[in-house]
Amino acid sequence: MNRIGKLLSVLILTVFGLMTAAPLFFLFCGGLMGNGEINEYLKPFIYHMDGYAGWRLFPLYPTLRNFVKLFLDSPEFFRMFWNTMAVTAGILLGQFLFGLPAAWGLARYPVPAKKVFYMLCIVLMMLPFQVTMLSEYLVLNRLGMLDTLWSMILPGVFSTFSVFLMYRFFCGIPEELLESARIDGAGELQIFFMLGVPLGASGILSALVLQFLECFNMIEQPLVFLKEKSRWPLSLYLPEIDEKQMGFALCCSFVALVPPLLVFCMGQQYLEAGIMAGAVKE
Amino acid sequence: MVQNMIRTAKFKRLKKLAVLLSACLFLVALAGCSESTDSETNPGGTQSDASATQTENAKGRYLETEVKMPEKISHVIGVKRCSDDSIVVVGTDDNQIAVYKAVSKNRGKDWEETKLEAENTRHAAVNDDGTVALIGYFTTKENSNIEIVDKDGNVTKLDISLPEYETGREDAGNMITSAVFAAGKLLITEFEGRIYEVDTKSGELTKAVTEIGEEVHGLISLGNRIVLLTKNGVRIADAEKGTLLPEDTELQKAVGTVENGSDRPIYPVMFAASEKEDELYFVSHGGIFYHKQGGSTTEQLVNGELVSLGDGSTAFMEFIRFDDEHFMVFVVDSLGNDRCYNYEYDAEASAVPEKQLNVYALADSAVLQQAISAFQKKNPDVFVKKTIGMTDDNGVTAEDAIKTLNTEIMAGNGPDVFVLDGLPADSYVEKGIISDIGSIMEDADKKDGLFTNITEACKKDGKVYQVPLRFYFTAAEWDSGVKEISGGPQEIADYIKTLKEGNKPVMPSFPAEMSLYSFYDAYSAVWKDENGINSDALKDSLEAAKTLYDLDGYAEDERWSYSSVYSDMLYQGQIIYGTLGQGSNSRLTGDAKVSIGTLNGVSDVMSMYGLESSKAGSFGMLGQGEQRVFVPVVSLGLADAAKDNESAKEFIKTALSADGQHQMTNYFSINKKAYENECKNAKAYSIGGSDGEGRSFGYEVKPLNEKQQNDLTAMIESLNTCMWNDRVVQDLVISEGAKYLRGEQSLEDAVSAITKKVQLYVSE
Amino acid sequence: MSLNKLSKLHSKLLRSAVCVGNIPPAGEYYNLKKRRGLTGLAFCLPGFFGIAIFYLVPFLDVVRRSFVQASGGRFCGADNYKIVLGNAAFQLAAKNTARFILVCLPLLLLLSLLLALLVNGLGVRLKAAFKSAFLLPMAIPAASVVLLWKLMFDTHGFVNGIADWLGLAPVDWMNTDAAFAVLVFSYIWKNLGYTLVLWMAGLASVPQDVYEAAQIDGAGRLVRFFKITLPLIKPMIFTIVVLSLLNSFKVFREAYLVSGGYPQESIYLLQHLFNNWFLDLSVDKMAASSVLLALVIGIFVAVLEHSWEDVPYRSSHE
Repeated sequence: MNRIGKLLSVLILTVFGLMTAAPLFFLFCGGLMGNGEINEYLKPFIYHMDGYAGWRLFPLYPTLRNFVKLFLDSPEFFRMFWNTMAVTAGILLGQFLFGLPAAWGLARYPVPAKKVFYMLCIVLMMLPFQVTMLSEYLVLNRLGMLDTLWSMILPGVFSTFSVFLMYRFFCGIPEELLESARIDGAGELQIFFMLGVPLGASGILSALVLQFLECFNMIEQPLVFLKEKSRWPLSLYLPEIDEKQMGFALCCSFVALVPPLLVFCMGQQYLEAGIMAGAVKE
Repeated sequence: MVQNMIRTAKFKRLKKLAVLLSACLFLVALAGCSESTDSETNPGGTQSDASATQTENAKGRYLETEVKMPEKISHVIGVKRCSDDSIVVVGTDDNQIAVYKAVSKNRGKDWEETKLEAENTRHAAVNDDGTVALIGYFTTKENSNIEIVDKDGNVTKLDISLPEYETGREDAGNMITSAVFAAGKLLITEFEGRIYEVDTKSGELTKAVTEIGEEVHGLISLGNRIVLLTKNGVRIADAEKGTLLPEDTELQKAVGTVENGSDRPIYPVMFAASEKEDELYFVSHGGIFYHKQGGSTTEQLVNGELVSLGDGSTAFMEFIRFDDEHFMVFVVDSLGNDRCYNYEYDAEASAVPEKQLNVYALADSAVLQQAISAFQKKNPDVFVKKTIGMTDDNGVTAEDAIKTLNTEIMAGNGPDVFVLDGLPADSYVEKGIISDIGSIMEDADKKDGLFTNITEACKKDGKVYQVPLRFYFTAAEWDSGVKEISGGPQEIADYIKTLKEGNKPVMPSFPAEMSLYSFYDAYSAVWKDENGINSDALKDSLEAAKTLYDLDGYAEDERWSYSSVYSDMLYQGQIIYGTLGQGSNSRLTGDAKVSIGTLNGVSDVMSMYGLESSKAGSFGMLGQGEQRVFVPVVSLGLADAAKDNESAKEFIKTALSADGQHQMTNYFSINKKAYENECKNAKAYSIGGSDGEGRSFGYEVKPLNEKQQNDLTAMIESLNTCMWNDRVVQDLVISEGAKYLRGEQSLEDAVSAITKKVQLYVSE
Repeated sequence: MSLNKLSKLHSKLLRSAVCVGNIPPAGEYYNLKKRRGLTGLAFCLPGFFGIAIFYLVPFLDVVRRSFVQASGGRFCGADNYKIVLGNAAFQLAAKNTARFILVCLPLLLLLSLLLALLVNGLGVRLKAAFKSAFLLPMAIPAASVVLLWKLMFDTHGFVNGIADWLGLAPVDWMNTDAAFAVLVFSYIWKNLGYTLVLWMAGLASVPQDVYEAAQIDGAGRLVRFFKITLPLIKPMIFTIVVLSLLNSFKVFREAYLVSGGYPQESIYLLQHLFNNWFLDLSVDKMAASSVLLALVIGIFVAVLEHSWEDVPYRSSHE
């Protein structure tokens, strides 16, 4: 029974796992195909012809042409990549400096009206971007940050989402620990750095990893806040590639996916341990 | 656009003339738009370098003046600055039969014209001493000659024999693709991409510049050097020694690959020599540039955006530099008209115009650029900053672009003048973003006369918020006599059904979207309903479109593939889907009996008459009931925020005036005087070609005669309704309708999907 | 920007906080709480300052706009709200959004919980492998997801190809009511791994000895799950619901990029409407309806929080 049950559960999980992982495989294979081959498979889709789009597990005529074109002949890809990296680094650093203490303060101290702050954080986090876009533009305009990378970085730094995440995590640290540290004469800053940050490390990292993924997916903000194309992030490079050069599009998608994937793999154990936070309660 | 089609081996690879014509249109359009952006982006870097060194109120700038062209020459085939600083222009008359040589010793102020006793009229290469080499259309074995006319007018005919063009076909002839004089030598290229030196006495060919491994499709003379144009870019060779100079990556970056979209040697970039051997100058749509060979920078001398050079629909014939840094550029516009501009340095003019005018358009177009050039020429102290929402290279969708624009408007950073094509103009009127320009229009009407039927139809609540500079309409052409079809789409479909004989196609092949665009243009105004869309009227049109689509007798994969790139181009006005002429050429070859499409201006009408002189038929406007619908192009709106900005008003005024429109060639002018000028100044030319089955044909296109012009005027004046000018509705109809035409959904589903969505749109 | 000055002020406050910490509070509990509160505020201040500038101020601006006419900028009371509530498009969009959330949230929570339980029963390596596989969709850029979606759900796409192979009739996925199912599917596909990991974290936090004790008492699997696991991970459920709700708003991006501003009726969401209103510059309507949306979210979260959440600080001091 137990054996069969286990087998069954592996089977079910495999079905779902294949569904979620297949796209990665699809992007990689597609990136290795020449346009001719891809167009052959996707003909019905591209040209609205009878029949259905098909696919092969592995390319019949694998070619590195797409990758070569991307790496050797697409300077804008790299420019946009570095823009994204700059924005991401700025945001992550900023969150460490501002979001982290805020979450700590909110979680561990009887801050006046903290409930209100907390609820406000959640509501602001949920509101769709297009709602506040115009007003945000006006604020950035007033601050003179439009058309600079700051217009991407600063709103990201103060993202309420990561405050919420880290808050949930800090809540999970037992108060008794902090109390005993206080009795031992530790200052509040000391407690924050010596206890809060290490104990919350996995939560902090998971928030940062999620933020990292978010940075690789920004589409609306740069379109509105950045006029100058040379400052655009990588996330806007992909939509430019149309269905006519599918192989190249898939190749770009795959390459764009690599950095998040790497961070993801490296950060995964923290992500899991800390992706949620509040649960880790005694 | 394409003036002369030459029967050549190259063309025989193509199956149908219609395909060929549209491909050429496509190429020219592509070349036009891609080059303009290239030159904007590439030398852009150097431009900022240059302007960074200038202080804000620095003085000194090149100013443009237009040079009068020689009177007898209407079609320039060769230009050169000779060693005595005189300019030689070689060209033909209206009928392209007589060849004239015009010489000016005072930089184009006066021309001295002489007739040359020569027969070749395709291209002329001019030597430093005034010797002219004339190249003809055919240079095959049987018919190969170059005429050399020395400076005294003596003609020598040279028999040259080019090696066979290696296609393996018997009748494949070779031909000279370009010819120049450099370092006193006559150099030519042919289809195979080889370069030969022609002995001007004996006609003997010797291979020149041997070590280049690529095909050379064109040559440009650069004093003692020559520029070789290949599909990978440009190379420079020493004409005397026949050796290649080292590759110049900086220059390569600045000019890209230079291609020709015409049968004349005209290019989006043109080069001029300097007295120093390692320097050169070039002109592109980005402006005039100085370049030191092997150097790391390219310096911008004239900013193309501030002068006529920025018009991306033009190509350059010749670029001349005099030693006192005075430039002359010979330009060919999209209709093949020649112009010449002078650029002289004015030390008193401010380096950068003091005032700035912001013009916004969702998509770029030749018409807009021409309007800007015209304004810029009249107002050198105002810099027109053109902002384009969707460019070729930014991949932004219309909605993204509008979102950004709206945000900027709300923040007070909006433009002064809107090009409202594709923008939510009605909302802008409602929200007070654009203001009434009735007075500007009245002035324009008083000055030159406008087609007031058009301007009346654009009014909203008795006020003028937008006015199109140009417009076009939909028409049909077939064998029997039609003048106007007012029975609506069903009547057309019914009539075309009767023409069907067996399996022979009735109409040229077209993608589903194409006929929907035509029908949207012609009938959308009828569908409009106060609370959405009239589904019965829509159904009628869709059904008729489906009938035509099925009648054309082509399978899905035989149709031209229709891509998103193509649809973007529709927005940009660079290419017009299914022009009537394109379809009618299929009628000429017997591939079709009917064509439906747009009439895009006087030149289109001329070619329709030309075509009908070769094969009887007639064309007329589509309409339904009383409604005759036009499609506005480049509708200008004045930003409310710019109400007090005199430049903004002046811009609209200029754009509406006959002067402002004299460079415009696409679509019909709203300005009566400009329209009449266009009719009057039109030039005759001939079109010819052959298809894969060896059927050849041709016809003469002539300027409209009085009756034809009157008929056209009457047709234009009967237009009384503007198309349902709404991007959202149009997108919905085209995308849902196309699925129905291709058989992917039923008529009921298509109509209900469109109706529901439009209702939702209206109820928002 | 006076960020520099601000951070100086901040560090001064923190230093004083350190002092507060060093002197053991001898006085009343009230005083302690007040001081602690101030210390907390010092931690929060810079972050909150930024949040206020980049999120709160824009939101307040939206609230202001909801009482003002779009053209002319005149104050018009609750007119915008009345117009919005009576607007047919708004009603449709609100209905669809609510329906989407009501279908998706339970479905996602249950499915991911089920899978989490299954994964939990596996060995370490398999566990890691499955978790990675489930988390992958999070890392795929939106643009690629869109391309994939188009390819899969086009009339000539993969899914119909498979259906055809199985002998089923093709479906026009994006233009019939099936579009709703596609949207639900894409939401679940993207968020399954995320939620699964959340559940697993919750499950891991339940002390093993409680289970063992229950097992000795003879409690079955189901009883153990409902009587022990669920109550213990209640606060976790709150987090999961909030994050899943947040992610349900994000699904709009893909829907919009696949089928534009006017998709099939059943997936016309509030954000489509917001988007279209903004394109038409109907900022007033957009503002009013987003304030309504914020209210609804606020109430929902407050109720949820009240019933499921307990704040740790409160529990240890009250």
